[in-house]
Amino acid sequence: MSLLAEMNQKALRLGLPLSVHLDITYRCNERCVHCYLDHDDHGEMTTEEIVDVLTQLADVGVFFLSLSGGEVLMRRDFFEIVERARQLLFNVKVKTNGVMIREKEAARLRQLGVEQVQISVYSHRPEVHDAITKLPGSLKRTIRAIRFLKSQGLKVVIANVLMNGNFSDQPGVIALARELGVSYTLDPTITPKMDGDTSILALRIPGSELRQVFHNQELVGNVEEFCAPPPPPGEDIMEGFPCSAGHTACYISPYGDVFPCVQFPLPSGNVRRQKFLDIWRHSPQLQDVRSIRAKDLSTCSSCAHVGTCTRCPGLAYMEGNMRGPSTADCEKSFQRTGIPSANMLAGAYGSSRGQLIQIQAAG
Amino acid sequence: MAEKYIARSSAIAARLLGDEMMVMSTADSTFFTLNEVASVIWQAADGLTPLSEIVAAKICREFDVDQEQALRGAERFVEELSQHGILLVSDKPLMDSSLSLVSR
Repeated sequence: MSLLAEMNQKALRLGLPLSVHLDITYRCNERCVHCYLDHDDHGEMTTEEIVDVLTQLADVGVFFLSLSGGEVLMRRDFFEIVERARQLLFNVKVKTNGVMIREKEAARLRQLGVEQVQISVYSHRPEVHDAITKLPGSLKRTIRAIRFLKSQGLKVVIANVLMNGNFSDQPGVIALARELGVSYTLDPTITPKMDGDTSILALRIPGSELRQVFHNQELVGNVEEFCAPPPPPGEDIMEGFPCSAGHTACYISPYGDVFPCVQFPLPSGNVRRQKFLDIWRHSPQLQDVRSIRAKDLSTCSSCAHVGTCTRCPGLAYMEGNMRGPSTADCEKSFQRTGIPSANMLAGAYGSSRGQLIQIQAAG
Repeated sequence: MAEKYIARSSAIAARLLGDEMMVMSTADSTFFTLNEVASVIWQAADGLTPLSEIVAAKICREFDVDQEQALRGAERFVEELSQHGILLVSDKPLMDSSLSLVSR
C-alpha cells in the first residue's frame, strides 16, 4: 500500500475529510456542449466567505484542495483565493480551460506553489475543440496556456472528455500531450445537467467505442489484466465502501452547498449557515451515504462486477437510488469484460434513464 | 560544530493527520509522513531557532531522550528533507519565505 493510500485509510478511520473539491464559480467563458452547469451567478460566496471556508477546511485536516468551476479565472479574486489556500498549506490543484492564462498568470501559479493544473482539451483540431467549447480560438489559447505553464515548470495534465463529436481525435490529443510534455487523462463520462436535463447524455460515446478505449493498451496498460473477468468478491469487498464520496472527500459549490461529491448532487448542508465540521460530522445525508456497504446495494450486491465495478453512487443517485446501479458503470463493466451486469440481466438496464433527480440547494 | 537553522520551504503542502504530519513537495510531489518527534521539529522550524535548541527544548524534554542521540537523529531527518527542498537549512538564521506559512 502506498503512503498516500495509508493516509487515506487513516483519514477514513479518524472520520476526517482529506480532499475537498471547491467550485469557486459556475461562470465560464466557454459554453461546452457537454457541460452540466448553469453558468449564471446565483450568489457566489464572497472572497471572505471562501477564505473562512478554507480556514475551516484546514482546521479539520483537509490536505488536497481542488479549485474548479466554471472557469476559475472568471473570479477576479482567484489568485487571492489560491494565495490564501497556499498559506494554509493545502496541496492545491487547479482545473481550468486555460483560455485566460498567459505568462503572468502562469508565473503567479508557479510562485504560489500550485501542485498541478488540469486543462480540458477536447481535440488537437481547432475545428473540433472550438465547436465543443463554442469559443472560437479557444484551442489556440488553451495550448498557449499549457506552454506558459510548462515553461514555469508546473505539472500540467490534459483532461480529455470523450463524447460523440471527438472520440476519433483521442489519439491526436495524446500526441499533442506528448508534444507539449504534459500528462494525459481521459474521461468517457458525460453526466446529466444540474437542472435534471438529460439531453446531453446523447453525447455519451456508444458501447463499441467504450470497448475500444478499455482495450487500448496505450490507455489502460495491461489489457488482459484490466479487462479480466471479475474475481468472486470476498467479505472485505462486501463490507467495503463504494468510493471516497462523503467518507474522506466532499464537494462544495460556489454557493456554499456541501455535497458528497461533485458528481453526487445530494444536498448535505451549507457552509453559509453551518460550520463545515458540523455538516461533515452530523449531516444526515452524509451519514446515510457513509452507511452504505457493498452488501447493501440493491442489484449490485449480487452482481459479478461488485468488487471491480467503477459504480458511481452519485450517478446511481441521479438515476433515483444511491444504493442502486449506475447504468453508465454497468455499461463500462460490460464493455471492459464482456460480462453483463446483474442490472443488465435483470432487464432494468436503460429503464431508469430519464428519471434523473434534479439538483437542489440544501434546505 | 556550527549551528544549523531550519525553515519550512514555501513549496510544500502540509497537514497534521492524527499524530502524523503529511508533507508534500509541490515541486516534485514527493510525499512524506512525519512521526510525532519529526512533526515537533517540523513545526519548530522557524528559521531562527538553532536545531540544537529545538532538540533540547522540544525533543529531549518532551520525549525524554539523550541530547546527543536526539541531535544526530534530527540532523539525519533535516538532511533528508532538505534534499527534497522541503526544509531549508543554513548556518545562519533564515528570513521568512515569500508565503507566510500557517502550519495546522
